[in-house]
Amino acid sequence: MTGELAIKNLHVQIEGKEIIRGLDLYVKQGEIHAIMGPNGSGKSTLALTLMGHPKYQVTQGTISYKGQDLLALSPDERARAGLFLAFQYPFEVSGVPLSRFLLQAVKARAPETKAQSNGRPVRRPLGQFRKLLHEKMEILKVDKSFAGRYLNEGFSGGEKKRVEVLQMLVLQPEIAILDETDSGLDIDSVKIVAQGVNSLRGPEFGALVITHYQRILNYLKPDFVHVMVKGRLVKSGGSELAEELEERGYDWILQEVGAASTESAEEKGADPDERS
Amino acid sequence: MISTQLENSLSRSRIEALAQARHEPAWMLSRRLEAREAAHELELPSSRYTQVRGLNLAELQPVGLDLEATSADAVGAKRALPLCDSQDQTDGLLIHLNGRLVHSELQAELAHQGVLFMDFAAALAEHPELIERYLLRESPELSDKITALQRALTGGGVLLYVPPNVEVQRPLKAINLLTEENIGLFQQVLIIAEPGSRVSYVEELGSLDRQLETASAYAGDTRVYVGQAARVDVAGVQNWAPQIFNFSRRQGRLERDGRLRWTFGWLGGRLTLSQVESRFEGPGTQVEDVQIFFADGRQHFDLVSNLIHSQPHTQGKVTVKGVLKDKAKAVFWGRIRIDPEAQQANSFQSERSLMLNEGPRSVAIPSLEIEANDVRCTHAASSSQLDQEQIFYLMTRGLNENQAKKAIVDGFFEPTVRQIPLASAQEQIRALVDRKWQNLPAEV
Ligand SMILES: Nc1ncnc2c1ncn2[C@@H]1O[C@H](COP(=O)(O)OP(=O)(O)O)[C@@H](O)[C@H]1O
Ligand SMILES: [Mg+2]
Repeated sequence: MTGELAIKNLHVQIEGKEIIRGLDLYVKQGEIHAIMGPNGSGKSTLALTLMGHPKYQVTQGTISYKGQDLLALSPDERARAGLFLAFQYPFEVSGVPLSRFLLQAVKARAPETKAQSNGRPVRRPLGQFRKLLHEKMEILKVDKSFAGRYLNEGFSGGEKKRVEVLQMLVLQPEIAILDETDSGLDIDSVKIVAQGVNSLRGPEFGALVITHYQRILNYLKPDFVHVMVKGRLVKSGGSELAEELEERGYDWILQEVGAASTESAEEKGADPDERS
Repeated sequence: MISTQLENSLSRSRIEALAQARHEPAWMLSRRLEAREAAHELELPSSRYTQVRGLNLAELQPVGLDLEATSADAVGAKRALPLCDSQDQTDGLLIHLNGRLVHSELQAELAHQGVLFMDFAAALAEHPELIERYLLRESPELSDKITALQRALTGGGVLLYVPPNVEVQRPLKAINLLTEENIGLFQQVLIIAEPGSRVSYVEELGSLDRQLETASAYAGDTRVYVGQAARVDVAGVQNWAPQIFNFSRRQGRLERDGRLRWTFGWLGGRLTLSQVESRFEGPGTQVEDVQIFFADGRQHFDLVSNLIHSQPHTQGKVTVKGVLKDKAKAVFWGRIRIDPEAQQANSFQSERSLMLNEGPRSVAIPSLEIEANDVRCTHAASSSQLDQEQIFYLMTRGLNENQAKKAIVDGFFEPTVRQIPLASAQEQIRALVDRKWQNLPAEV
């Protein structure tokens, strides 16, 4: 059975302010959805709410995955249920070596991998993990030395984003949310990251790709493109919608839905990573 | 007032008798008697943030004074030895159980080269001149009742002597086990590294997982002499049962180009008062002092580090890192003194603590006394809470809340633990942090 992430009539508040204001979205395994939209429209709020960030308060609506109520699960339970978020702003965790952490995460997500389906125990799980990690590092052109470095500490913006994708490839989620993973990446890096995401593509993998740019979507070929404005999805379409947005900006949509256009025009092309 | 048990042990006649039975030199007896007088006058140690409460001194039975071997020693050795699993990584091992030496070994080649690694009581009888030469050299003053008791009632301890230019490759380890209630363990450690020598000394203080109903006390005085261009590592891991009061006083004195590295892991006990004093008595001397603590419950650590620069071109670096939870308390006194003639001194100290909840308290009090004008001297102190965003980030990868917090705590310690010169001490501190973490109730 194909899993479906179902978001119905979602309302989310932060510090008493409503950010997501009635949002419906269905993401099936096997599908790639893109979400575009002006800065501040609530895209990251949606991503963090999906993972269960404690600061974001769901006041109405439901989120379920494979029929299970996600809102009842803690962030780690959601991860184990198959969700993954590549953060727009990954956190630094000093003193925690990337590879040691990822090994722990792999174990935490799949405690049942002690035995394979045929009943034979997996031999040398540590060796297998190293091999997997090195394989994925190669795909993403992340230097091997990063394995021993402390999680995101002293990484450049681009390195952080790549390592987010590296974590995703190692953890192999069923539904991945990528929050502006392509922002702040150079042209080659966007391609490498997209290839990484594509390496997971298949009937078991669905993704919600938040982006401002057409470039990454050229590689990912999303099945659906949604436009988010002020906490709602105001327009959905196929990949041609992304092309149209790239050309025309958001103004026409904002006018269509009757929203004020003041903040959108200048912000559309701005790289959010440049914000302080 | 001192009375009953302890009072009896402190009687003049008792002390005279024990000195005689132990074949101690005359100077040792007068040293004991002098300290005995002082013990009656002096108060318990205290500071603005630290008081000794809940220790019934009067009921303490001093141990390790009687040197006659007993059958219990063999039983103790049998019990203790299998728990001390790192013998293969050491060149020597001493085990004291409740103040009695129960095991002693030293690599034959080292013994042949003149290295001494033995119980302090035996050393007093066998090498009195050597001990006199160093121990009586400007003894630290008796500042409180505990230091006086330690000197008056010294039982066992360790003598480590390394002849000139002898390099001891692997650590020499002393394990000190305190498993009984109402005892007072008063020990003397003397480390003498002659010019050009090299040695690592590791001390483990523990209780074999015994939980004590009533308090016991440990008071240890450690003196380290680092000869010209000698290199000495002194590491100590304190993992006492929760009812033990720990009083440690350590002094290192360095001659020209000598290097001394202190490393301490503080995990156990109820109250710990520790003083580490490093005296740069020769030009070109270097000291590093790394201290790690993990305090929970109502544990209280009061840690002092003194760097005393009195010669030019010296370098001192103190790093203290601690994690606190529940209602634990930690006080760090970082003192640096640079005498007028100690030009070109570099002296740094930093103290960082991480709080796991709202209850604990951590205080850092630096004091800099600088009389030379061409020096570099800095101090830094910070205290932080667990970062909820970091916890969330780690949890989105599948770690549960407890694992996420543990990862952050490990990460907090890790860069400092990695700097510890002895691999075995690194491993041990990591393992003890793990164990201490697991004993914690799930709710942090
Ligand atoms: N932690 C927070 N505290 C207060 N306001 C916040 C917080 N996080 C987001 N917001 C606000 O919510 C709105 C949506 O932000 P966000 O979801 O980051 O938008 P996007 O990712 O689409 O740029 C913005 O107005 C932002 O200022
Ligand atoms: Mg965002």
